[in-house]
Amino acid sequence: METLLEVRNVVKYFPIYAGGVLIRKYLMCQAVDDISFSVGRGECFGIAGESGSGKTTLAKVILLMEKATSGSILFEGKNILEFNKPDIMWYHSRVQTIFQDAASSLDPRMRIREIVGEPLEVQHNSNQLSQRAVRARAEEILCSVGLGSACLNRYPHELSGGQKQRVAIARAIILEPSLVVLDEPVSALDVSIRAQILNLLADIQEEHGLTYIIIAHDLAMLRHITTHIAVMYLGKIVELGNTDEVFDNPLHPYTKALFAAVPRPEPDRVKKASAISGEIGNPTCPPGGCRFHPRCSDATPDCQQVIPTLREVRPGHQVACYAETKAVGNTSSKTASSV
Amino acid sequence: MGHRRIDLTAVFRRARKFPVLPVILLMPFLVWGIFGPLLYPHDPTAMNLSMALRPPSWVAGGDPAFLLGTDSLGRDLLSRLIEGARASLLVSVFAVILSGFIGVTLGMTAGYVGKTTDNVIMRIVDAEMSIPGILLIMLLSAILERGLTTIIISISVVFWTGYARVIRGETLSITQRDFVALAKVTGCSTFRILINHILPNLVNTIMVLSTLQIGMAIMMEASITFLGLGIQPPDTAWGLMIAESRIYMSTAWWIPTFSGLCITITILGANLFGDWLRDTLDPRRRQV
Amino acid sequence: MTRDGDRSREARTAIDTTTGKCLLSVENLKTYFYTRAGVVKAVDGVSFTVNEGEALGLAGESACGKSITCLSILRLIPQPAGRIIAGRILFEGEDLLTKKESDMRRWRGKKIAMILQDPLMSLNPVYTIGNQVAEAFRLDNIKRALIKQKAVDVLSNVKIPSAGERLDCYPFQFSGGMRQRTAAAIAIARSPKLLIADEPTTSLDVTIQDQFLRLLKEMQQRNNMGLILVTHDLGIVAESCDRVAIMYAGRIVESGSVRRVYKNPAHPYTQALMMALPKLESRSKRLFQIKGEPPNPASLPPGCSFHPRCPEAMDICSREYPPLFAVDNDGYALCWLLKKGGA
Repeated sequence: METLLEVRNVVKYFPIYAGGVLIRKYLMCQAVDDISFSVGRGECFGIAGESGSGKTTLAKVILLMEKATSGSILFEGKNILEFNKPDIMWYHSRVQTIFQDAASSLDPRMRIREIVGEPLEVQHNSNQLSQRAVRARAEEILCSVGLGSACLNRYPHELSGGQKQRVAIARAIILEPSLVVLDEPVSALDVSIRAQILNLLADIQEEHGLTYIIIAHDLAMLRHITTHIAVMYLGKIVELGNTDEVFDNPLHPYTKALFAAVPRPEPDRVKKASAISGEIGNPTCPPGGCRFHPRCSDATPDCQQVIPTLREVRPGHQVACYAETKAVGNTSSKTASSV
Repeated sequence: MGHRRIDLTAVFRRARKFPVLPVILLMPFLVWGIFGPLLYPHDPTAMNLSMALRPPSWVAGGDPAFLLGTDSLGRDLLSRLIEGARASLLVSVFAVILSGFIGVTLGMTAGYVGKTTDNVIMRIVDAEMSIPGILLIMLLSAILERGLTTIIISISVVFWTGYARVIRGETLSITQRDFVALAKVTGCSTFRILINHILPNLVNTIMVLSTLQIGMAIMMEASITFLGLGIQPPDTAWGLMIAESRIYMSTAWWIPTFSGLCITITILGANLFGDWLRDTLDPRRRQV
Repeated sequence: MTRDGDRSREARTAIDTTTGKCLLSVENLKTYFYTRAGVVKAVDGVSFTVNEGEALGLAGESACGKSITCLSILRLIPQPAGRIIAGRILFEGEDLLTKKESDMRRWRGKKIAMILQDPLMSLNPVYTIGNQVAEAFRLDNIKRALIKQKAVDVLSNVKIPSAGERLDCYPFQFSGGMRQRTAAAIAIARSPKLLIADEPTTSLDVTIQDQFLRLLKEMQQRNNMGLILVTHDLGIVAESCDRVAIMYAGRIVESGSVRRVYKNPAHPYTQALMMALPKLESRSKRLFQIKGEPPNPASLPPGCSFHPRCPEAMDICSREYPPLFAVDNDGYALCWLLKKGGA
């Protein structure tokens, strides 16, 4: 499969002001620390994690909303972090985004047709698309997301939550991008509407040949919609691979604890005692070595010293954990020697 | 560059509630301001010392020819009020427009661009706000020629800082909202975002501020004129009339009372009109 | 056996299988909001009971009336727009709606306590944690010398590490999970009989949410408190509650033990919700989706509020709101489909 987006060793640190007037002291918030992964065309790549994991910062870096501290991101083979202004304009027509809060995503003073038509006006300025053409295209796109033409002249506050998110989706796809980054697309919606929007997103992906990067904390939703998944903790990817493979065989202690903690609508399921303790660490002063070791019940002395790197331990499944790579390594070497 | 016209037909459809009260309050003064010279019952500058300090016509000693009485030089009060309307309204409206333009532009830029630009603009605002307004105006009057334009410029120089501060704060909070981030990700230029996205969302605040400023501008003009720096006699403005009649407060009560009443009613009308305008322009308030 | 459609109090107590002493009994509660746009029937005839030591889950989507129900129990409805116009709220036998405001004030926190959704809003940012926990004890006139020790005890019970040193911390120095635990500690400081938790974990991360819910369960069992857990997450209800009441458009449309409702949901809305949830264990080709949107409480459809979205709606559903029908001797549901012999 052709690789659409490749993230290589991306680092994003934020300076946090920590006192001093004449000589200002700064601490570094290590929001994203050496992340690498690739997304193939047509895939649906999920990024799971809790607060402080850096997933939102990563999304902003990919969208060029934040400037990466170091690293490179290759989109269709070109490094976007070295783009100049015209390239950035082109990039924005190829990569779009949908945010969590649909109400905040729509300008309350613009009509729906203006909101949806704006990307066309901005990008195709040189082609001088007429007002009528823009309006017609907006109407077409709104129909494809399930909104009638009655919505065209309405204002955002007259729509319901689900309808607002559909407008946001329409706006994102009107330029026919190749990649759409979705940041918690359904978590602010009612439960009975989430399924509608998720089905719509799946339909649109198929219809327009899109690639998705979905950032969410709802693991069941990610299981349903994604093809590949990365689990992040405190700025690092701890587990990466095919969705089915990772969900069926979670290897990293954090991933296992995360899956175990998700509440399920099964009254008879006996929940094991929580394998995880303590609070999520602080990205400004993360623990040394493996970031997860203070909360991990399987931690070894090695884990405090050196940061583990992602290693492929099963086909299509990478994990960054000494304990697990050793365990799987042992079993695989045993089978190898027995052959 | 995009263009978003204010949809006038929709605006008028929305204005179910016609602003009756503000219009009633403001209309006389607007009419006076525009058609003044055609409406004088007497020449405002015509002095008639034999008729000096006559009370209004309905009080004992009054003359029906001079409806609201006369001042110390025998000039008809009503005519002078009509004449004064012009100066006061001109000054306050233009001062508010000019200070609004400067203040909103600089405030928006400071709030949106941030960093050094924000710092520089805000420090200028801080520095200027620390100087008493009257002092600034006195300085300016000393430099520039006395007259209507000078007063407008002086008041604008003092008032723009108030706009800038508030607009900067509003801009900061609007910039946090997702639709601004989305506009950036779509490739909108800074200029387009400021004009098409930030400015329309500032309209509420600008309306409210402007109506407050009109009242303050009228009072400021009165203060300046009171100090002798503003409009010079024989031209007149309401503030000047109050200043001149200070000594007659207990004897010729009608001069300061009617001038003061004009100022009060104008400010009240402007405030109410501003409320109505803000409500009409905001699509959200359309719903109950 | 009860006749179909019988809504008397005795019938409901018989239908809701109960164990333990009945702590709270809400009967036909109606809270309406009077706005310029019309009457908003936020809570339109809600009845349920909570026993000692039992956890009732109040589940539903936004604008279904679950939060307003909780505020009505504590008589904290924003007035003058909101009014409780009908019903009885019997707490340990006494009707809360007839009590004077001064009596209610003494009961709030002492007998019935509440935890809210956003812990950052629940705690006052300018007072230390110790100060806010101690406030609960000051209301009980505990001796000053003992208050500090009690505060440390209470914070240790909610597993805040080094509680003694943390008393002087401010809320902004705590993480979200710790703030919510502090809010829970303040709520149970005076050992209330009933705890109402309104979406307590919505703003928390999954692992922290898990810890908090376990803590809540522990607290409830230790003090033999009744618990009303309001949430939109059916997973949380399954794991933390004994009984569940599903709310839609201001009414409880299904109620019963968690086991029965999840295994054998009787109301089409409950069935649809269960089917629309994505499963963690396996991927489904396409999610079951419920058509339409939750109704606006200011303009509810005639008859059954769910009928425009119901895959099995009948003629009568658009004319008359269905009455209560017993289900399996374990709870009830409000749906014409349950009427024996057809509509």
